[in-house]
Amino acid sequence: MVIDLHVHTRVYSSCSILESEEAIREAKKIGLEGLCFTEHNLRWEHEALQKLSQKENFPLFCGVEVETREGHLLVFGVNKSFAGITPLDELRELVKKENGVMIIAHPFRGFLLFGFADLSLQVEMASQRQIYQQVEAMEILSGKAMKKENDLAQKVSKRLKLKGVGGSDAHAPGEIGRGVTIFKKPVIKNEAELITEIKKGEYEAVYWLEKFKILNKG
Amino acid sequence: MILNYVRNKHVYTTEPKNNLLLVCAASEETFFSARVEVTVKLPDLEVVEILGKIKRSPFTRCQEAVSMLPQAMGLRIGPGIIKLVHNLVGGTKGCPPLANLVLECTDAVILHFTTEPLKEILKKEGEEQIVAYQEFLRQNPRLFNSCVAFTPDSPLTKGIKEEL
Repeated sequence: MVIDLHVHTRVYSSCSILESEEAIREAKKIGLEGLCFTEHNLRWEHEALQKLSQKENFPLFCGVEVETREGHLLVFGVNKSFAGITPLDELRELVKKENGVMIIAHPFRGFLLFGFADLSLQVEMASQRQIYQQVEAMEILSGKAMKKENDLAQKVSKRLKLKGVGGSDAHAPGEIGRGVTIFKKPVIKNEAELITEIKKGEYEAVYWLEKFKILNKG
Repeated sequence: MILNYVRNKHVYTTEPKNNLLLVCAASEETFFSARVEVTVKLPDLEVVEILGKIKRSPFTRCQEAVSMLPQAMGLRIGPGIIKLVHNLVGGTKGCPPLANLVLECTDAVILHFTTEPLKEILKKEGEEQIVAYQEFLRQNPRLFNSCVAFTPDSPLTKGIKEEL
């Protein structure tokens, strides 16, 4: 099942200009099989998400992108919204209690800023951050990170033996599907199953939109 | 009534030593006087030490906010840092001018690494300079459309939009 695991809609994320229906329309158009709304600190109401999913006849999942001092985390399985900056330890405990999962989002996004390439962060050093010990997976393919940054994330995840997911981090039309996660399981029905699959680690991260455009040019 | 208000701000970085870069920012004005020192670990740009001192401020909470500075330790200088610093050190419970001084330091870190390559480009002329800017943009695609010089219509981005 092909799912974009990281999408922001204007319903709950003030920085997004993407309508939820528009996101679904785009996802269908490019052949995705599910979308996961991960708003900043806020969680969709279960009923609203179900209603939208049924109306559009499209599988929708929900997580939260939680802000911590150590970075942004995609959290699944915790049925609550957050405010401000959440302490990582507190979040870890909560996720553990609820049997959820935490994924470190875009770990190196913006890192290779102008001139900083000269600083050449090596994989070994990049792997040392404590936060990587606290998560079940790493977003190794983010639609908002540069290829170099995603490549570094990929190398770090490999070194740490962390599973790697893909997500677009879409905030605007045209961004859906830049990164996706292709799960081996053909049908994932709900968030509980999604969590099980993330933990299982049977998936791969793919630059979906890029491939879709190339295939459709030919 | 005669109003008299003076404000001076000074920010500087030192040369990195043992992969540590020290940045200092000081603000000296009629009502507020403070200094912040931030030590950043290279190459991952992580704040490893942060010290501050407020000489005078009209707000008591600013004096108290100095003790909040260590909360910014562990932050990495990159996207999202403005919001984090304002949340940790500024805001209604903290001291916004102190948070701004911390951000002046983080800005200075970026400038420390960016000014030299830019100076090199400025030494070139004509077509050679344009080519240098284009190469610079290739290496830093986030700058595309981030300012007037790098808009899609600018000669500096000519022919490389598709690559980005």
